[in-house]
Amino acid sequence: MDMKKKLARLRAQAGPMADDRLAITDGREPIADGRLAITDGREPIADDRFPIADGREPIADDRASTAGADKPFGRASAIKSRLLALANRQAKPKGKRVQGGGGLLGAVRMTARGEVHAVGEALDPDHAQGGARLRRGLVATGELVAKLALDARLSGIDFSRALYIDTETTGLSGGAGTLPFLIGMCWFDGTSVQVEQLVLRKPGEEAPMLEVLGERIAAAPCIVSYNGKSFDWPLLRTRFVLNRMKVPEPAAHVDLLHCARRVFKRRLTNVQLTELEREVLKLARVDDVGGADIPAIYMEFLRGRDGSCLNPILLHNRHDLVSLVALLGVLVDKLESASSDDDLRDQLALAELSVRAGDGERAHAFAITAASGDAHVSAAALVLMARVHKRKGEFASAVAALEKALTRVDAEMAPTVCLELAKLYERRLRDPARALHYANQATVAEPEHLNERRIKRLALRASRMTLPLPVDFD
Amino acid sequence: MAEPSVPANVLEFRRPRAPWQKPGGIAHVISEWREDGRLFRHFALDTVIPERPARTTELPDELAPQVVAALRGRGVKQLYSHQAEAYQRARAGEHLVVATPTASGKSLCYNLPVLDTFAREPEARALYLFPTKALARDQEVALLELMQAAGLTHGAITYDGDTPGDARRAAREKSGVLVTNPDMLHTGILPHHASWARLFANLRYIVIDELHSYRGVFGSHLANVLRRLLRVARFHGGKPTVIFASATIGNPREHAERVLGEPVSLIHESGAPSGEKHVMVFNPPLLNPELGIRASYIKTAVRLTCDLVRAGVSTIVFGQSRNSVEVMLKYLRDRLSEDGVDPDTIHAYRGGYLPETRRRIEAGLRDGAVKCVVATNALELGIDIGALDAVVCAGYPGSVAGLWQRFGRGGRRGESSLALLITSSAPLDQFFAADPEALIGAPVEHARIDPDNIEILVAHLKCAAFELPFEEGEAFGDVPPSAIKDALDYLAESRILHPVAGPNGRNVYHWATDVYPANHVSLRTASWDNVAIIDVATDRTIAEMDWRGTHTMLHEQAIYQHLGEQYQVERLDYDNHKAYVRKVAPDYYTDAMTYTRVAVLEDDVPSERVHELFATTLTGGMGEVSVVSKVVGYKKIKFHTHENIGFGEVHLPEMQMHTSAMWLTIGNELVSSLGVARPLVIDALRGLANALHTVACVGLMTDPRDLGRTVTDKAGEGAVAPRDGEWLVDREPFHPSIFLYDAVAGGVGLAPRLHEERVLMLERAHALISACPCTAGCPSCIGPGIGVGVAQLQVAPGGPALPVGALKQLEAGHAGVLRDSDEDDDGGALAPATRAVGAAVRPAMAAVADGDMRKSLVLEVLKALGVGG
Repeated sequence: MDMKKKLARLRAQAGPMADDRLAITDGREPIADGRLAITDGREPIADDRFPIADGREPIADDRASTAGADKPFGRASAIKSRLLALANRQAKPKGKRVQGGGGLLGAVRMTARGEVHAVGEALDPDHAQGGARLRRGLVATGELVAKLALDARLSGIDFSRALYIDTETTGLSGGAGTLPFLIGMCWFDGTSVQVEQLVLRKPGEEAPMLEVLGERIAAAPCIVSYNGKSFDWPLLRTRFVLNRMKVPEPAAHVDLLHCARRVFKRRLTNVQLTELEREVLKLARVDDVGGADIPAIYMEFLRGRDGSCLNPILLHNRHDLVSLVALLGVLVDKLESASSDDDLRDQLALAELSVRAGDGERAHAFAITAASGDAHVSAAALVLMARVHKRKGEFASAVAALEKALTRVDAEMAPTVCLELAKLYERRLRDPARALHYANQATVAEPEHLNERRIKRLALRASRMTLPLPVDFD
Repeated sequence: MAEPSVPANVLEFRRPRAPWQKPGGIAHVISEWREDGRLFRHFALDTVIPERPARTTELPDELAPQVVAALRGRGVKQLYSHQAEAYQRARAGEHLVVATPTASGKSLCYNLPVLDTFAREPEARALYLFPTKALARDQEVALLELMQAAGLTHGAITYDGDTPGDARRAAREKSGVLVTNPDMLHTGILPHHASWARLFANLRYIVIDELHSYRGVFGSHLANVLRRLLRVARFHGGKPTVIFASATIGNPREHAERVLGEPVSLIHESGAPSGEKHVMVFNPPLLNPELGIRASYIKTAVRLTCDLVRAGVSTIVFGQSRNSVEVMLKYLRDRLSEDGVDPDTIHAYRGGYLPETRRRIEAGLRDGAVKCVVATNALELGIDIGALDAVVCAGYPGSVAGLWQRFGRGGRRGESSLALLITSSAPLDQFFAADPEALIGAPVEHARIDPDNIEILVAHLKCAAFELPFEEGEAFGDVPPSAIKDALDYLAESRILHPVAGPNGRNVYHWATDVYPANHVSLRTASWDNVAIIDVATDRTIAEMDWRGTHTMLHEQAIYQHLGEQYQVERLDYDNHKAYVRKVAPDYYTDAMTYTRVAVLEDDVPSERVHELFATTLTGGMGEVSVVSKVVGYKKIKFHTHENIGFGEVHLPEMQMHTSAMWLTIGNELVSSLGVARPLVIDALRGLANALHTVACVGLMTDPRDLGRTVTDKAGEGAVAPRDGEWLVDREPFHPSIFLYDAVAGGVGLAPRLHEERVLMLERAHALISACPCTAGCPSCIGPGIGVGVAQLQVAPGGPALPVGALKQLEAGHAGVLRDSDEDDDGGALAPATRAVGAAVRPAMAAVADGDMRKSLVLEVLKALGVGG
């Protein structure tokens, strides 16, 4: 196969040194894609972002004159791109200098599998991340974290020894071609909070970095991440497999994204870490590097830019890690005891979380606080409180809570509350007349035929109170 | 062993019928046709392929006892010879391709070695690839039943876009057989191969069924996906044996080897029995011998199918396009409901129907609730619909292989069946109508792919580099390391890969962008970017349409036909991939007209004189071209009469592709020397192009849809092109060129072969035209050419002045002649294209269609070129 010739043609077609992203995603350019490319019929080369998409032989277009002047463009661009590539290759020694350190923070360390570039820092446990102190996260009890994460197995874990992990990667899509080039880790050694960041100086050198990660994971009773269950950990697993290294199995994994979402779901729609910093930790990052820019910066570093260009990414990652420790503290604090000083929407969410964690007492306490909130929060809290009462067999209290809720609910929720009341009155309090009263208001809360049957039955029973009570339908 | 077949009419006597009911069955219908002299003389072929007994062998001794028990339990006490051979060879680790007819028990050929291995190795895994999701699901069910019978707990799971999350995890961790499609493998599995490490490490077999469907670009993509698959499997330590299964194609072994890049052994002698098959060809009568116009093959197919359905014969009718399928469905229902046949027993089946609609029809066919189905090639693949008694092909499907794949749908074991072809006036149809015996035992088309098509190869190299870094010196399938290094360096220059010096001094190329490359590579033209068709009355999606079909079938005002109902497209939201339609009851359907132009991008072989015997002005070359096509308008075709009752305009963006082409350029001096108005000469060249297209398709054994043709200037200028309402009419005299191009993006290598054979092709085209019995040129030789000449006469001195609108219609009418033959309907509909233009045109028309002018002009051009003496 005459690969050189074909490639030259492809090169001319794609444009010289096309931006790597355009070269792949440009839908009209048939490189990546067997589909027919589409162009607007009137101006086949209307878009000059794609300089020579079909510029070699312009098709029936007045603009032909401009593109036509570049007839030898294809060859010229091929030569130009080769020259640029040459320049690139010659720039490599620059890359070597970077490996020595350049402006990149940190230093090279030796491991059993070779050199790794590491950045270390020790923080005071009383360090304040915005309005939150790290110490509160360090002393989190396993019992509370287990409730927060809805995972009872976590209750025996000593979270002062947890390993916090956050990675920076060459992309967000995942898969074998996405490379975590910075692995940030953070743990408490009893006196200070250690931050360690491992930087990949070039692809192919991952083994020492993974080796260190594996050791730290093995030593920790648990890892803590933010969205790590779906993103960071699968990626890291993949790296171990690709480097033919044994995949370490963390003893436990707490993903704070899910915890935070459960706690803040009634207040925040966006639970990105930076959003939580702003809203919860009251911390505003200054000059933070945008997540979307990170892959491109690392690519520039690989292609010879000075190592100092990575320092903002190191800072960004350090922020993320430290915020994770602080965030765990805030979440655990909030869950520890109900407080009317807290946002009542969060209190309601914590009540719901406690129900799911099977902690009725706690749920009840949060529901009481939340019940003093606005109508919507309050109604939801009372309904929840009724559920807790019902589970404990306190049916009169459940009914009381629901009837109180009924004064606050909106029209949409009312029928559901009425249906619950109808059931409680019929089966538990054995008051068919009241049950009938509520069943009549619950018509839209259940399928029509069921509601009809319920009303018929209750009407009959209310009129003949002497009949034996029915078997429970539940 | 098959029981001897019992003639259907014998059965009639066993079961007494009410006297008012006509006796049924195939034999009866055929004998009625034979007795009808006026009908029967149009049958070009009436022959029988005799019943063939089974060739069987005992179950192999080495077969694992559990598998033997499972087979015995299902009544399988012997194997067909090809099944036994496949088992032995696969066990020996040979890659193999099984190419036996439809319904010959191909799936056991691969299931047997897989299950046998599973019975010995608890950790063994297999990967099954099917071209469609539906086939994958069918196969999963069949496999699970067999496994259960054998007491194997390996499990099988279908993994595609519809697989829920939990099942995905199970698929990765536990399942013995992963059943999926190439697209999912490409975007969902290979890029995440580390999560599938267990599958790849223990991968013993890769099964690729329906190999014949992987041709053209799709096949070239599959070959590259396989290169990636084997590379990833090797990384994890798996060394699978590949088993292909294919319907009849001319080159199964060569094709499989091209797809796999390694030697493959062939099993093609079927040991399965087959019942007696009547093969008949009906050539509709000539209505206008001068113009070569025949009775509509669509209406003929409907009429003959009605005979079959009335006689209780379950029938499948294959149409050429989605439009023709819907038209036939409507006609069949209209006619048969008059005879008291329930219209719900007649259905259509084509791409674009929603999955649940398809499933319902498939089930109806299996349980007999559906007596007749009208289908496109969507039913060619191995979808399980049971066997039917009769297959009717309305129009030659373009290839002998395609014809026999369709014919293979008929014939229950041990009973006689009917395979009937109704030929249209298209050239290939008439070629076989003239020599119908050639259909039986004819050489079958080759499936062609070009896995080294540079665009496809580079796209998959990107994906492969994403999956695992490339080391310098590594090959990619059968592409040698030196070529791969060039490509990797190219990608490094483009900053898609990043080379790093490895430990042994060789460069290692790492993926170096934040893009997920597989998302930007679609393996097929139609699967992505589907347009949803929404009924505005109910606000529900009634169907989907692929991107290309959208242009021809969902433009605004189009009549979209669905399940025998008509809808009009009220709005096409092109950007959001939605078409809003409303149910209407029109007396017409619409047929889009496509205009195509070609421009040479690069000469691989620069133009040079074709042959020293030919005129010096006849030059030819070959290279890369850009083909731009655009739907410019539509015709309204009246139901039943097929009259053209109006036109409309369409404004849609162009579709563009790069492909390879060969061209023949006729010097302008020759055009002027003929002493005929220049537009007429150009029109004659279009006629010549049609003839060349026909002989090229016959010569290469290729589907006519895979080869495009047009006459234009080499730079795409000069041909009549619509632009801002103005129609450029051959302003500057140019050197007209006839282009024959690969109709798939990137090409699969047709053009170079045609370029080599250009002299022979010209001579054969001459022979075709001069031997055709028509006088004025007909659809079977040079094709209809009415229209363009008229429009261009306007600018010729003394030509009648025509309103611009009429010109457009004429142009559009002509463009329709050369339109994408995928949407080809009825040859008979072409002639009336001019009728609507009105009286203004008639004098000019006379100049074009007068006497034998067009055909003789083509012959004159050929003579001036020195072709054919």
